[in-house]
Amino acid sequence: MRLSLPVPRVPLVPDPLRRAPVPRSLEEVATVAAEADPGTEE
Amino acid sequence: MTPRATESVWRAVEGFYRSGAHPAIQICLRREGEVVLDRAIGYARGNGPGDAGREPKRLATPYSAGFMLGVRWFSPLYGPDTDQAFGHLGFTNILGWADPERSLSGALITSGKPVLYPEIGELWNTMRVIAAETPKTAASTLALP
Repeated sequence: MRLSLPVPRVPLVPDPLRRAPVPRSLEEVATVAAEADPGTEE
Repeated sequence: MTPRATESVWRAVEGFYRSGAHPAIQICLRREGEVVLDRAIGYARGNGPGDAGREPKRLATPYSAGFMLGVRWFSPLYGPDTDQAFGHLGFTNILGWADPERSLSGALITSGKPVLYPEIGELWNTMRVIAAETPKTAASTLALP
């Protein structure tokens, strides 16, 4: 669910909102540390 | 907290990241004594895999509405030569920061004034002295490569 209005990026010009580039695959830039098992479904 | 709940939180973080408002986001949730979610997404400027190593990032402090990095040559936040430091300015010059190269973390709490005011130089000087008077320690495992 999105709670914000997406503002489209205009190609070929600098983004006036100076937003960071977002890769298509987020797994490439994500890091997961050691996490405890959150448990089973309640 | 169920696995579905933690993944739901992570999906929300991914959506937040996709907005492009922040180049990097980290979240850590600890519940009933256990870290159930500890993940990061994206990279701060200069720290991505394709970025150059320890070159000076830029003269001006990379601004963020949240956490900010220090800078090698001049950082009004954490003093000079603190490009490994990171912390939060708060809204009224209330600082919380950590500097892995100095094995130092600190907090500077004031009664709070907006970001710029005539005496701001004294705050900058306090942070400069802290950095200057705290020698760097042996390589920290927390320091960025």
